[in-house]
Amino acid sequence: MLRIEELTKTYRASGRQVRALDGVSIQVAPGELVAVEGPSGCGKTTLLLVAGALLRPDGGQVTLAGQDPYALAPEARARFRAEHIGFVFQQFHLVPYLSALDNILAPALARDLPEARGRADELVERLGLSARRGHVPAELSTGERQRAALARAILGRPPVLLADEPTGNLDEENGRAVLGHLADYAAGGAAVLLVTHDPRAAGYAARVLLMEAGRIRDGR
Amino acid sequence: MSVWRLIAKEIAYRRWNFALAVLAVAVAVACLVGELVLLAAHESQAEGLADSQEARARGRTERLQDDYRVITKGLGYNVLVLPKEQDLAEFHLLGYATATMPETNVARLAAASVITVQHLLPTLQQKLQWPEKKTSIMLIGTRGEAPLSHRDPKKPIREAVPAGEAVVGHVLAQGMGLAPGGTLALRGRTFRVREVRPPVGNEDDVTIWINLAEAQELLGKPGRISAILALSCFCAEATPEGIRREVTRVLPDTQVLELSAQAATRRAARARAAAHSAETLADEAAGRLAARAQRAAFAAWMVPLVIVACTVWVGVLALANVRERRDEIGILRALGVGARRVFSLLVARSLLSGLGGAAAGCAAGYALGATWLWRESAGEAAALPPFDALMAAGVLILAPLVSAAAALVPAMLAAHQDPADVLREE
Ligand SMILES: Nc1ncnc2c1ncn2[C@@H]1O[C@H](COP(=O)(O)OP(=O)(O)O)[C@@H](O)[C@H]1O
Ligand SMILES: [Mg+2]
Repeated sequence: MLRIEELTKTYRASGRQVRALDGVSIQVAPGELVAVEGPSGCGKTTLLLVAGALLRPDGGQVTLAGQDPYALAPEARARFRAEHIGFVFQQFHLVPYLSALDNILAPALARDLPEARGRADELVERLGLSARRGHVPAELSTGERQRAALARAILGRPPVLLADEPTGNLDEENGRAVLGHLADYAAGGAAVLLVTHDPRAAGYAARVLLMEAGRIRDGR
Repeated sequence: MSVWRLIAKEIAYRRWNFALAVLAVAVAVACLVGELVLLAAHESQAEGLADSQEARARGRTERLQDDYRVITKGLGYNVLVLPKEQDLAEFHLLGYATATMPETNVARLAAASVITVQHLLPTLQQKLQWPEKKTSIMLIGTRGEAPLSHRDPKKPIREAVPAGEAVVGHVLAQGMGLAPGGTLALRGRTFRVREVRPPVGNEDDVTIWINLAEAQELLGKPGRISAILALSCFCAEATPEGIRREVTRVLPDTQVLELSAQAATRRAARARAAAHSAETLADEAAGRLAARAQRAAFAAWMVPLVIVACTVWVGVLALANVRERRDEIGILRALGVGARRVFSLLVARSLLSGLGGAAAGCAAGYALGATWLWRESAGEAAALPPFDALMAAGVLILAPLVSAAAALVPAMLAAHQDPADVLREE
């Protein structure tokens, strides 16, 4: 369960203020995939970082698995992220010198995952990366990279999965595949929040929220 | 996926950055170890060298002193034993003693084991008119060397003149037309001319030497002599006073005159030789010390300078590394890897490069030091420095620590960089 209430976040850069979040409230229940759609610059990434315990909001409340992560000390918050949150990014953010398999196993650096290896093998199989498991990111197609990133995000079965424009760099077919896997993961009982300006996302989401200038304008 | 696997993969991926960091540490360590090896080798060499140099110098001194001894050997240390009643003023005016003493004094002196006296030459000397030629001459009766019973027989200082023969000074021989083999008549006695002396420019040129016994008869002084020339051999304790004491103890009725400063000359020469050697030795030691001090002073600022420069270099490389890894570190942080973990991961990498550099630098330093020593000692057997395990262990522990310390600030910056900044970038 992910609940965010009345979040505000203002960036201050060189005297200029940008209100990236202006009172955003969203709830994502377990087993639910919620998509937030909006134009570039409307505050989607900021929303995701705040929800993901990576960026402290100016106001409002984040509750994740019954806990406010910003009430935790930095090291405890990192551990909390490792245990409860998975991330998928538009830029993949894979570690360049690790093979696909090692990248998928990276969450094991943050916490003990006793069956990580078996789970990684299973994900490699399921996401169609078997032939690419030993390849470094530079040797993978963008679709393969995003699937590897997705596998990494769900290796530890986090109850909350946050995805920031995961299809932004993908072609039609790969985009559909990734959206399908996100929906599958939500179906497995996780709360999945997807921010995107990809209209296809609507087809996979239980709910679609429209965002504009730091506000949720409309829910469909 | 373990942290070590991550580190190993990263090192393999950014091998040039890592290799440069290893090189930096290796250069600093090689510099330090090489200098330590040289200093240690010189330390131990210096002692051995000082010993062997001193021995060489002592050998040179002894040779030099021996040379001086050989050169000055002919000089002898001469005293003249005169009868006690001889008036010294008269002796100095005439050039010989008019008083006489028993010839047995010679035997007594010889038999007395007077250790400082080696050669004894009894003479009877008198200036007299040569009636046949109407001129004055110096007549010396000589017996040659008196036998010294307790010593090896030595070649006499002056050959005895056999009875019936005479040795004639140069001026006399010229004036009288005498030549070896001819005869001369002196106070009614006839002598065969045995030898004409070459000119010497003193009263010897107007002297006739004949056998002592014949001189005693001729001068009417049987069994009497006027002087004993004692030629002593040199020894450190032999002073004019020592010799005078020895002689007058055996022969209370005599007085002793020191005839020459030759002994003093010889002593001075030997002292000079010793001083020269000591100076040479001191100069050499001073030069060696100065060279060592110079090298130590050079090392004292050079080695720290290299270490500081290399530490800065390692720090810069670490900074370059973490900047390149911004994205990767950001995602690891997002995945829940704590800042402390990221920090130790980066420091561990620097520790590893430090360890590699220390090992390589240690080996290179020993090799450099040994090569240097070998070239320095060109030709001579180079004393290779012993492997100092304690120093090697110290370097292998300290160098990685310094290397890790150099990476502390970059690692701190990287670990505390906000992952949101990286992840927000599109
Ligand atoms: N570090 C920052 N400093 C100042 N402004 C920022 C910063 N990050 C984002 N912004 C601004 O905040 C707004 C929201 O950004 P973002 O959340 O990245 O939007 P989106 O992901 O929807 O494109 C944008 O107008 C952007 O320019
Ligand atoms: Mg964005």
